[in-house]
Amino acid sequence: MNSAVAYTSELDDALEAAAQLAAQIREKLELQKHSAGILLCDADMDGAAVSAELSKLLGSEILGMTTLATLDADGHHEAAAVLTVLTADDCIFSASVSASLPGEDARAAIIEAYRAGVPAEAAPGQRPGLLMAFCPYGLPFSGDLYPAALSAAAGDAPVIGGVASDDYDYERARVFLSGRSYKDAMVLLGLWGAVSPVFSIRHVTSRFAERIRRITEAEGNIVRRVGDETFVQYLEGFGLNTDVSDPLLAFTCYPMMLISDSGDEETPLMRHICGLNREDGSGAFFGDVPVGALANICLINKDDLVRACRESMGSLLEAAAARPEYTPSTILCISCCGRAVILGANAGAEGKALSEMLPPGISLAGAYCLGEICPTFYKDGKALNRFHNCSITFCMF
Amino acid sequence: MEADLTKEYSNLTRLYKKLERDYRALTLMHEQTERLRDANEAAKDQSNFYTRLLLENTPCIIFMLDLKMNFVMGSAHLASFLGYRDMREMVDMPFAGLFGAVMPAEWIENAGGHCRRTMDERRPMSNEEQVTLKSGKNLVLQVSMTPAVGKDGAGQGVVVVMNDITELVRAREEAQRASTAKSDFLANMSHEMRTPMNAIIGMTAIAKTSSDVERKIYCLNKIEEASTHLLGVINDILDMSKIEANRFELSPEVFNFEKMLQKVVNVVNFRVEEKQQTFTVRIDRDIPGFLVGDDQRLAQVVANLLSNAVKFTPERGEVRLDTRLIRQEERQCTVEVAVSDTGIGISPEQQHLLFTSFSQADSGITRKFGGTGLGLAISRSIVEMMGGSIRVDSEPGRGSTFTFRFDAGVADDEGRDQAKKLRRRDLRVLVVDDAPEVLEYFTDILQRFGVACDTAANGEEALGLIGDKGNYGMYFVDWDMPGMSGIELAGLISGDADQDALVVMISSAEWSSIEKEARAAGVKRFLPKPLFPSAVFDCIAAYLGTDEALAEREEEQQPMQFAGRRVLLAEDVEVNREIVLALLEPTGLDIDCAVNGAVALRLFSAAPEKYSMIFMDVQMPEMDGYEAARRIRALDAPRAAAVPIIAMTANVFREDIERCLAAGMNDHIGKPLNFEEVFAKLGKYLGNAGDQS
Repeated sequence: MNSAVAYTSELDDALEAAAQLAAQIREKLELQKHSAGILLCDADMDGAAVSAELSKLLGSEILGMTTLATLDADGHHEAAAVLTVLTADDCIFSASVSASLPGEDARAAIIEAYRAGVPAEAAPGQRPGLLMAFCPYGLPFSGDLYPAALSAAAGDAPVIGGVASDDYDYERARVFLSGRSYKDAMVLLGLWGAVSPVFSIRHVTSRFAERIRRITEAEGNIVRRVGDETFVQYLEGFGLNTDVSDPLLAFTCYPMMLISDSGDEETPLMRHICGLNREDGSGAFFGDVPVGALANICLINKDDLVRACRESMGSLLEAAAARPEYTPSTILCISCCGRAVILGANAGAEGKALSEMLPPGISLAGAYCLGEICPTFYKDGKALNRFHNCSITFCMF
Repeated sequence: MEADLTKEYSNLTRLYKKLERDYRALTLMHEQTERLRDANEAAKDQSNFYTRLLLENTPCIIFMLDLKMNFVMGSAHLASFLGYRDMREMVDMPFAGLFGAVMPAEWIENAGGHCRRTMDERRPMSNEEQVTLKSGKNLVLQVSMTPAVGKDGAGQGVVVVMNDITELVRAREEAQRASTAKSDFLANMSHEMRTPMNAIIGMTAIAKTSSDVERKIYCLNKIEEASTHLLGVINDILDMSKIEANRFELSPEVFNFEKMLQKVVNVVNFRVEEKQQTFTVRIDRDIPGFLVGDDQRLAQVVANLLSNAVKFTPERGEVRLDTRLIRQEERQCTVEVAVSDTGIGISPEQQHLLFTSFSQADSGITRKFGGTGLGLAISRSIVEMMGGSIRVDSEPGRGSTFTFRFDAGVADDEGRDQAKKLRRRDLRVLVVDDAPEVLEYFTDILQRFGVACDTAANGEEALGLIGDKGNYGMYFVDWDMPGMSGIELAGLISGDADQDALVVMISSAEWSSIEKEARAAGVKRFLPKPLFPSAVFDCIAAYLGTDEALAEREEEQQPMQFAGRRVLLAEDVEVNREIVLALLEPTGLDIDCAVNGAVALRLFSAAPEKYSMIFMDVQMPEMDGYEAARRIRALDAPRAAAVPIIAMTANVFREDIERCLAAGMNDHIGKPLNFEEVFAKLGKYLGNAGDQS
């Protein structure tokens, strides 16, 4: 498999942006028998229009999502779009889209979308070598549903992906597939054939506040009580402002680290608060929060984030080096929007670190999401796919 | 150009919005961080407070050393252990200096080495060590060392926790000793139970194959002996089990203290005679005659001490039972009982273990003398339950004295009333014995009864007294005296035509062995040693012919006769039925047998008036004894309520007896059957006459 990455800051003119991106790709890459493109772009860009034009220009399916910022080999970019084109003779790329997920059964809709994307050439029972999932934001269920449903549908095939983001107005986050834009559906890209991905993930969990407590009442992604107090009281115990009128607050509140004794993960679970209900004192999270887990506020600064980024990239390269028989071409990075906010004026530090470590000949593209999907454990083709917050994840294939 | 400007404006607007977002985010973050920092500081203060509380209150010696082996912080107990008033005095002190005043140099060197190794190897270590402090005090310390590693993974020093486990180790060793004793005990029990079982099985086989009647009788005697021993072993184990399970209880009743002792003495007398030991009993005249307490358990303690004394005292040695009133306040008293012997004695080390369960002074003793080793532990428990204590004074080779005290209630003293009845100023008694303590004891007893008494140490002195003071009404003459024997003296007294006196022979010898000779010498009665006041009383009363005691005694000697009376025996085990039928045959009783409670109920229902009494086993198939008793009592027949029902069962614990009584039974006889007890119950419920109740 070969790949190439193209970049543009042209957000207003879809045709012009598509032309720039296509031209860069044609310059870098000779398309093989099967191709597909992943477009990660600012919410100001009309992703549907750009993907439609790119499909025409490259003759490939183009899918993707909006993002707060993009990453490529040159680093971090705001107000930009990045296109990664994958091409191979020995690998089929199969894109599909789900029905509207707030419908009756989101899980069934996700499974159906996966099935719709299984290519005719796939052998019975065959699983994709890698599944990419671009998910909608703001739906009334926990982000854990995405990896859970896809793992069930794809027989624990590895899944990398994220939840679409925008510029913190939470209204313009979209996913798109070849000319159509979706606010409440998931788009999938299955890589079938000669693909062998490796993954790495890092949270930042080195410093904590001094107030560790146990979750005593929770259901799904709603936490009602921590110890003998409500979740809001627990947060206020840290001295934090719990006035949720500013949408940025959820991200500037520090992520919560959960240590669960459910026991199937080596790394602690990180969760971001996505809303507070001051009436009943509960808090909503992007993903599930198990009762009995120990909770604590995590303290993060830019140095921690850059260090985690370097460690995660280092682990990824180590894992890849352990498989010399496979030649990877692409790294997809899904990072957390909260990290971008904390990096603030130093947003470029993460991209700079990555570009310094990137091996020659490997394409890198990435996005900042409102939830990351990545396996925490992957062995013998079976992946333990998990939904994360405040993490930086890499997939190299 | 315009298009470029529009595009530029659009980009600038977009960037402005992003900058505005970032500024807002950073402002919020700053505010939240400030709040979080304050809250965090407060939480850290609280955490430090908790840490300080823990360090001030832990009973452990805890401290941390930095990489240079200097003191960082520690527990308050460490400060007091090292003689510092405040932890701050110790800060930055090197380890060796810190412990130098208290711990020996060798310990400091070793412990310092362990600390350094823990830090270097990043591996926790722990050990248990005995150390003698500079003050001379010996301690066993459990020392754990853990490397102190910072969040960044860098070594910071070592954390040391030291626990004083001196007492714990002592307790552990004690427990190990107890465990070993228990194992030894089990081995002993196995031996103790298998030995009599071997005798029973072996002698039964011999008896079955032998046609010689004398040999069969010999075998049966051995079987009886072994069975009795086995029963004792089982009873000891059951008693100890109940004591250990805290289910051992006393059953207080009014009892005659002296009679209780007499029964015990009668039991051990056989062995005393066999070993030709001198056995003396002294009963303090001040002890109330009738006490309230558990006489069975008290008898068990006395019997245990006496049988030990006899067992561990060689032939011709001495055994002595002394009793003493310690105090009496209204209806409560404390009595002391001491059993002394001239036996092998016990070393101080062995004395320490004597009253412990599962221990015998020397495990070799079990093999040599037999016994479960539980007797003294049981005795101690019984005595303690009676509010008393037990102790031993002994030296190896110089005999032992076991002394115990117990509290008891005081009941009406019928004995004193009896004593008043004996006051006969005209009766003169002469006691002849070569043992001064017997003479002294006799004088004391007879004074208590208001009877005048002279004493003589031998036959010649006795004859001299008779010559000087004239004939006496009664003579108590010892059989075994140096010089003129008791028989000879009795013959001289009886041969005097002027004498119309009663000559009573006193001896520890078996009466049957000297009876013929004694009667020929004119001896009318026999009084066994050791002497009990009540026995002397009965003897005098019989002579005077004024007391019911004589009648009672004679009645006891009559074989019980119940001809014409019918008893119902409910017993499911055939051999048990056979035993009862055979042993009650001489009484003339008619006995109907029922193989379970249902049959017993049917037989009784058919003819309630026919039965004078029912012996009822408890555990029986189809209908048990409890149910049968309940149903008999519920029958619509006058006799059903009145017929005595006596439980005859191997369920012998207090709660078993209570359950029998609750089911409507009148009394309880335990298995294996003691036929004296069976006859006593027959006498109690049927009387010894022919009328049907």
